Amino acid sequence: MIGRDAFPDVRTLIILVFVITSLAIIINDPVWLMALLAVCLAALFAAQIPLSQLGRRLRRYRWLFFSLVLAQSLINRSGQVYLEWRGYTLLSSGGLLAALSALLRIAIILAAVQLLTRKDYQQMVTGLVQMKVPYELAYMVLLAVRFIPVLMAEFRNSLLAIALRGVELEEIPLREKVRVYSYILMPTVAGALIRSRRIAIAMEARAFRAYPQRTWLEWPRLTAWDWIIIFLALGAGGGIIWIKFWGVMA
Amino acid sequence: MTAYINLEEVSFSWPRGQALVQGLNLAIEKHDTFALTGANGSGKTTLGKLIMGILTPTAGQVLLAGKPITSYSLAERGRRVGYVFQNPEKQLFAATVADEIGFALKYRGLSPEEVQNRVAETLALFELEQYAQTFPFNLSQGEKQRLALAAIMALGPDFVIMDEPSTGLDWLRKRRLQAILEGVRDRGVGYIIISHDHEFCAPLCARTLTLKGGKLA
Repeated sequence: MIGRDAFPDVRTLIILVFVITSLAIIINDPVWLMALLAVCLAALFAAQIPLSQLGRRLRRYRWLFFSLVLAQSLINRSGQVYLEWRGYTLLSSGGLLAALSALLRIAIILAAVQLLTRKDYQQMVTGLVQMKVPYELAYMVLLAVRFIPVLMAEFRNSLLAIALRGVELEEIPLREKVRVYSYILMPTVAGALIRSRRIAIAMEARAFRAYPQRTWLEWPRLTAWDWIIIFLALGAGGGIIWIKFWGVMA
Repeated sequence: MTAYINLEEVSFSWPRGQALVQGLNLAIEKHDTFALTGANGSGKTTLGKLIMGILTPTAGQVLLAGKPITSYSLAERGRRVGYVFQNPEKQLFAATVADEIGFALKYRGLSPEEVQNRVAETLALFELEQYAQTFPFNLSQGEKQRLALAAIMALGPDFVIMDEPSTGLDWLRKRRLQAILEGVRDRGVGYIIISHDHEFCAPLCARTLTLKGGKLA
């Protein structure tokens, strides 16, 4: 049975994300990383995923970028020195390029993972099972992943509740702030444990794993386009790794 | 003279969603007691969050003590207006009931004795003394509701917004909560009760506002 929204299949997306993120880790050259990011953005555009989402996520990393520029300039003194203080290199072209590569790598990984948001939770489980991942494992992993935003929302709620009680967290000394954060982490974790226990009971009550067979309402098949993308991604990925290890690329 | 809280032509809609609040005007004094009713999804909670500045209006503005609510930090708003969430679990985070009530008091420059006294008074007022050392998540729904309100009232706000405070309470617990809110009203603290429960609100509120089609009917 071919399911809804057949193309691209989850397996195609998983392979694409695997190839892109692997390349992002292996490649160091900013030019090649930019090209990889361009491929990622094109894929997001083709998948009709708003690029603004990626922009919002990347904004959070701007301080990381500046910290990396400074740290890399201090450690990696290669290239031209732009700023120096008492013999310490504060800004160098080598540092800038290294920081840019790190930022591009983060952007590529975030963009690639966004591709998976095209598929819902059930489609992901089916896709993983089709890739021979045991059903229970796929189900549990995705259930856990699905809870991450819930936990984050609960943590934010606690912070909101603290602020609404008139407490300015920014004005609290660091030591006290750490105590407050640990304070609100406890009920969040306790709440998650209570909820997971309830889910386990609810699943058992619905006879989860009670029978050896399972009926799949959807069992998608790979289309010709899926095969083309999978071969292109694996071919291009393999080719780039080959070029990398033959010394053509940094 | 402007009221304590003023809503001026306030509108709100979610991105690509229908308008939940449209051009709403409302003046609220410190001692006012309102019930805010309306069908499910009519925007009651949204309106409560707009008043509190948790959500930002898509048009118009909310004024608190004559100044745009956005000019106050969330904590400054919290010192003036208390907000009790629909689900009390969302605002309970401490390890014990007494800690929950005393948490914000510790950051107000009060001495440890003053904090202890205020916590003890509040525990007594909200009939929570026996649970002082209990983990808040282990309380019943009604007790959690009382604790959420107690934690807010201990801070002495000028005004309180309560979202569905009577949900899930049996008759006896509703009656207890009513008695507590009568005490709050008698101390001159005003409130808005967002609720479907007319029977619960009627003796507590001087006015009932009904939200329908984004406007007050």
